[in-house]
Amino acid sequence: MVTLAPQSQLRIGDDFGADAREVHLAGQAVFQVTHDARRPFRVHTAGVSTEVLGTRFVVRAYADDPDISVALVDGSVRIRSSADSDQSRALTLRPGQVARAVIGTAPRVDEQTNAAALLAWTEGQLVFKDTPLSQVARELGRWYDVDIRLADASLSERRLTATLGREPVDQVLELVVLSLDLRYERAGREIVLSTR
Amino acid sequence: MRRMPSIRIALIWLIVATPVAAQAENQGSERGPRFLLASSTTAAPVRVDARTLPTLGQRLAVHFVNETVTQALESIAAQTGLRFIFSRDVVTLDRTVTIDAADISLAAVLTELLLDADVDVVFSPAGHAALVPRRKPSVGEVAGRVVDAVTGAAVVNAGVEIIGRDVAATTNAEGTFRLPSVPPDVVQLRITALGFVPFVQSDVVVSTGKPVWVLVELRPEPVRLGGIAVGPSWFAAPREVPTSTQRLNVEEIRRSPGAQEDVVRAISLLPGVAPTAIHRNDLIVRGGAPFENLFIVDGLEVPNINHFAAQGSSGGQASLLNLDFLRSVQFSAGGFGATQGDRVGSVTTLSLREGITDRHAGEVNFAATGFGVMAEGPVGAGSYLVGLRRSYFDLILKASGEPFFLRYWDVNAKVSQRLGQRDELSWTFVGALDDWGFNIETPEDRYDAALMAVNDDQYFSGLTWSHTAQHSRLQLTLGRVAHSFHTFQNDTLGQPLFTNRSTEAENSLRLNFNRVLASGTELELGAAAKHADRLRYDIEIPGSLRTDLEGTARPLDLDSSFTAFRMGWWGEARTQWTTRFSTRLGARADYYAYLDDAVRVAPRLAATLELNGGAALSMSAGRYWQTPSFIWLAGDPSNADNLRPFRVDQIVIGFQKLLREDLKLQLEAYRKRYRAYPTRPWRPQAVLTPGIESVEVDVPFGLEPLTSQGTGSAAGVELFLQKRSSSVPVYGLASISINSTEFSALDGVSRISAYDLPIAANLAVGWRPNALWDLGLRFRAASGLPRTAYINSGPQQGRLDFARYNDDGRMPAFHALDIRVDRRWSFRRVQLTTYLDIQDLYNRDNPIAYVWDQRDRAPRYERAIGFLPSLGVNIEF
Repeated sequence: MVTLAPQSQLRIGDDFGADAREVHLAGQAVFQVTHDARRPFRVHTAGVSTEVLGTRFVVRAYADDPDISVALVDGSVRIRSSADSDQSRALTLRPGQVARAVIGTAPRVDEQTNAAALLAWTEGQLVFKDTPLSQVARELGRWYDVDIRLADASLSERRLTATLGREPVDQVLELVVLSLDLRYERAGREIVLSTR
Repeated sequence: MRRMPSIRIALIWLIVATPVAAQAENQGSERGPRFLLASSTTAAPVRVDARTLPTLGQRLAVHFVNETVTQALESIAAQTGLRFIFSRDVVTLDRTVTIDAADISLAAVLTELLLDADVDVVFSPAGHAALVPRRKPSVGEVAGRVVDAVTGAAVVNAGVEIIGRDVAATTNAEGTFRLPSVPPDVVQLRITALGFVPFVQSDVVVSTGKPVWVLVELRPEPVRLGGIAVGPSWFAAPREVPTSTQRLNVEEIRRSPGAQEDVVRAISLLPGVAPTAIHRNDLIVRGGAPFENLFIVDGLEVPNINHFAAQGSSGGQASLLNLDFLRSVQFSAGGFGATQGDRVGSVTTLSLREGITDRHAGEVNFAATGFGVMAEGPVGAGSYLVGLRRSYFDLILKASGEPFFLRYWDVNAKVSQRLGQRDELSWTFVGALDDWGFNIETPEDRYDAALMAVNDDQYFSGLTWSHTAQHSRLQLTLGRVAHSFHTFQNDTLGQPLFTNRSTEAENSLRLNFNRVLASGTELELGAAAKHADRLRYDIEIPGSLRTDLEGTARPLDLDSSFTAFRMGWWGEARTQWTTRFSTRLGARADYYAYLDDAVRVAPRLAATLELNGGAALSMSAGRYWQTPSFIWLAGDPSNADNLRPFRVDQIVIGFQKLLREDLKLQLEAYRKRYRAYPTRPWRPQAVLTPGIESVEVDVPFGLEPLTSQGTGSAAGVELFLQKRSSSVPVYGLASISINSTEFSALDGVSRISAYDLPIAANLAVGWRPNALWDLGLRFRAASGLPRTAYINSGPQQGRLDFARYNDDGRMPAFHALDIRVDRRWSFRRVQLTTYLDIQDLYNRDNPIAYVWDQRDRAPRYERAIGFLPSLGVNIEF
């Protein structure tokens, strides 16, 4: 079973199920996979490939975001860089762990982040924990289908902690900019955050 | 002479980009967080408490042991479902806390967690709690010093409060006070101290730019008033200024529509005062000529404080003094005391303020008249204040294609040093360079430029030492006033017709001593010596323009210099006889070495009877002497022998009543009698008056034989209503002045004076709807001044016809409406004030002079600028 996040694409090959279950993801999705040793389940993204050993996990790999995350809820997954076919260098995640990778690098376990945070969207929540504003802007943008820009590149490192739900975008932005000591201007889909 | 040419183009002098307002926000001095509720995205969050927001009242159990605030918040979130939003880069949450409570409200936990974090919590209906940095509110600061008005001694423990706000302070041992964190606004300060009459200082402009410094002079409470309560007043007590005296504060002048931020023009709104013409600031006070007015700047008598000054008189194009430098202005239209002498008409006392002392600050000003920069701050044991301005007149005149331009620079500076508790030294310097130039491109331009013009440069400088003792004060001022004039007129071919190159410089030493006697009587004694060490005159007038009674040419070719020495002594006693009755008795003597050692004595007295209900009756009577101006003495070889000081005896009776504590009504009547007024043997119908536009119509001012044989009289009634800004944010003044003035010159016939002004009315109203806006309106109306006919045929055609001196009807009545809008913008460290000022809103385009047109061979009216909008901006930082 696959739950796709907004603005995400899952491509399933013609030969799916023949001798391996292989899918290609751009975006974010939660997978619940039954173990089948003969037909391994693999999620390919631009940066990493995740091989599933019967489990529930989330993969996040947006085309416009070099950061790729894989969070494991239960079961077990093995992750390797897409550029590296050597299975022995793959990273095996334990439940609750989150692996992060930037395209072209080997994935690493991120001890700071809890897998639940990455799954929050499946319950209608967006969770940030000391998340840089550049990333917050991208995720909020996807969440609300708006285009959020920062007026000043120096703002991109400002960190935000927040748990947001399905409130209207203006209500959320209002609170976010207040906490960040910023202001925002909105014109249709275009939203610009700038210093007060 | 010296007109401002017609400019009919509406000029926008400066375009100001509209800045985004940063509003002053709610004051927060609380240590804990404030709780706010964001109910909509359009309105700002509103403050709530646990009673109105159930979320805050919910109970929880906490057990934090050395946890970070972030961890604690997570735990609260888990218990309450509250979703926190914060940024650790914006609010500081790194401290650790220990709270152990089984049953505690959310409000209490959050308060404990966020104590001193400078954070507010904004709740949303959806259950968010955003930690929002508490914005440092945009605030200004009011600081100042309270001193005894008589002795200048520090008043200790005086209470200073901002009316209507919960902000107050008391003065320290040096008399200084400080009110930090005042939101930007225009406020009133109430100052109270034991043994002093309470006082309200209105119109203190609190800015987020530089701190505002206020010097408050408290009057000692007269001993005999000891028993009765004296309420604070927005106005000086009647016993202090018995008659005809008004004080204006700087804000009242600045916001005066159409005054062009010129202190002298602002004075013309007061009762009994009118400008001779709208383009100039020569003032007619109660029918007197402009040369009868005295201006005192920081204790220094300055004959003319204006750019493009009229030599021997007191007016000009605009004042040299930068309004931002002024602390106070006091104007007396008559009945002034013995301490001020050598002028018979009015006295304007101007004090420059001191610089602020806690930091360096600056200001950039684009005003209606020019742009300026200034700086101030601490230096040594005191402060400095310096400013430089340049006028725009040249650019405007050039843009409008006029054949000439006026350009000036001026500098104002003051340095003050406190030498211990009792002594203070201050130095004031004001200087100006004026340039009257020509842009002549066509013969038409040359024709239009053939009028009298003046290029003058001047400075005045005063060094004052002030020593304060317990009941007395001694002030010594050493000053120098220097003014060089190049007054000239070219003919229509551009050749010089008349030239006057003069330099007048005078040194002065003035000593003044005040003492409060045990009885409560206030005594003031003083002496002054003045030595004009440089009076040089190089003047050429062709005989055709300087004709005597028979029409014979009497050319003047003068190249001479002389010196002049004079002294004055004065004494005055101000006594409170009963709780209601007070007097001011004084006398002065003046000695003029250069007028054949003449000595003149002038007794002066005033009395005030205070009635019930804030009413008072006052009177003053006195004799006033004035020396001839130096240029008159140089104007003909006979003048030094024939001219003597002229005299005015005057009596003023007044009634005033406080209708409210911020609203004063005043009614006054006066009568003046002139003697030994300068007369003109070649023009026996006329007494001496300044103000011709061209040497082709009459002999230039003062450059002819003169005698002291004129007599005259002036009488009038004035009604004046003044409202100060208070909790009722409307302020303004209204005056109606009725005057009749006449003179008899050498022919003995009594004629109306050139400055006879049957009726003049002024209305100026301002409204401050909130801390950001000021709206002002000014309406002026006055009778036209008398005209003198021109000779319309024969060899003297185009010259004034003295057979019909002041007997050719009047100029059209003058009236004009000016409006002004001020907007203050407060930023964190910068204060911006922008304004729009429109002069002559309905374009009345009042005539400024009745002149002879050489081409039409007929008289016509010269007109000034009509409708004239201007924008200005002032930036303080």
